[in-house]
Amino acid sequence: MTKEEFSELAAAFALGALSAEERARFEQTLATHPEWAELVDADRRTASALAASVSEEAPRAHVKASLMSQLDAVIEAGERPSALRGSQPHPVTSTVDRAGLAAAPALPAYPAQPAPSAPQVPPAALPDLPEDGEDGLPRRRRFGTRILATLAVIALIVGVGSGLFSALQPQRPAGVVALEQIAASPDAQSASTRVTGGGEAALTWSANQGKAVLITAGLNQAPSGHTYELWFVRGEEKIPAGTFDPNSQGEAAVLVSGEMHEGDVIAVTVEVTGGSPNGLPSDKLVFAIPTTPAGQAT
Amino acid sequence: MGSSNACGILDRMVIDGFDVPEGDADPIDHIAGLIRRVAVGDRAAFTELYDLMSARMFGLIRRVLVDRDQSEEVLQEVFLEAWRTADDYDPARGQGRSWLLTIAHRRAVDRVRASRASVDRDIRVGIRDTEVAFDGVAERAELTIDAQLMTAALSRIPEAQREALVLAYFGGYHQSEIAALTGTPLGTIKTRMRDGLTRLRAEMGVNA
Repeated sequence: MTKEEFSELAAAFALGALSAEERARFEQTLATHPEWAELVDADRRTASALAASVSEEAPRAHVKASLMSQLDAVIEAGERPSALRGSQPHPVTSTVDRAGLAAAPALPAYPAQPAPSAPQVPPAALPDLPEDGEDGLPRRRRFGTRILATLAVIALIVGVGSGLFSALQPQRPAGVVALEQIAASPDAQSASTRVTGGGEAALTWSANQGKAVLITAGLNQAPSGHTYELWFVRGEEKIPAGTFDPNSQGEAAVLVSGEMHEGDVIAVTVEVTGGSPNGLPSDKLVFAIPTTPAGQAT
Repeated sequence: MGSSNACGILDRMVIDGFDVPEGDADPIDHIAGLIRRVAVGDRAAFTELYDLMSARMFGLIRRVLVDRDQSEEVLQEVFLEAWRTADDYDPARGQGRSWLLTIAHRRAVDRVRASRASVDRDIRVGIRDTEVAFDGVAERAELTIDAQLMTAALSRIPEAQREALVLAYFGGYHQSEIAALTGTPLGTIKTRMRDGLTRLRAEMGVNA
């Protein structure tokens, strides 16, 4: 990419006029040309000055009260500001829930945003998972096109830091790193499912490595004040395995946090932000994917 | 405020939480100071940040999103994101208010795109709304000094460039959507956005 081409993209980037794919490519280029960063910063400053042409408008009073109570919930959940999370690098603008779940950063390279509508979740309780057949339950099949598209985006984003102020800090999401490790394992397996209410989810795992990575595409955002939480369902046991929030395209690549055992069912529920407060899944099951041992696929 | 270059509009946007000391010292960026306190978990600083910046940010979000309830939701998301990511703010790369407005803008644009996709909104209605919104602002009498300066700067750049900037920044459209909306080749739109932004920066500086 020439500097002229980059300069045109920088203007579009600052104005928010790039699609997600274009944005990823732009950030990748920026990561390899740190000398162009000042150009990007200058354009962003000019673009944000455009905001000055808009009249100020005070939000209604209840907004502040609601924000403060959300903040209290966030603090209570142990989600601390970034400076207090220790010195390990972290994806800077990812909105992955950071409630101490360092092992579960998801793919979204851009701030995810809740969709206006809540996902429709079947009211199935975890212990009553039907055996097969219904929507929302896994079928052994090839990855859908959206998952393939997501994987293509992952290939683009790998090695690229994200966000406006962090494009120079290359960061490989843990889900992506783990996905590569699993893919290199001879016992790697995958299963995918369509999600009731929209989207697809695919699980890739290696029982030898005890690791599983969940990839989603087109998944609805969790309702405001809520997040998705992963669970290992192991017989009667339900073990929390991290939370995640997909990006605005419903994409996520999440390392399921904890040691996966062969035969575990990986379930995803909707929980309040920060994850289930009592360590037990809510009854809002979104989908579940079993990890049947190799050779015993249904 | 004597020296010509140092007092461009970018430097003059000192209303929100800035002090401009006597003499030539750099203005103190109170917003940046508050963000640094938020980064270490200072809840009082967070409250102060909200009090100082919420009206400015809400105005921007509302311009992009229009719907008040959705805009208020997005405003809350933006502040929660600021809480989480305050440590990533680097004062060397821009003012505190610019950092907050960038987050607010990105979230508002993401939301408007999501709702556009979900309601399959007629894109041609969108472009009309955007034009009306811009004109409407230009006519309002109660604009702040900042807003007047910015509106004046915008009015001095060529119309085609202004259209591209406004559709992107306030309309939340992709460059390829803007090309389709205006019946203009994508390459031309890219050039207009580039030239428009450069021209705008120059106009803001000259104006001061």
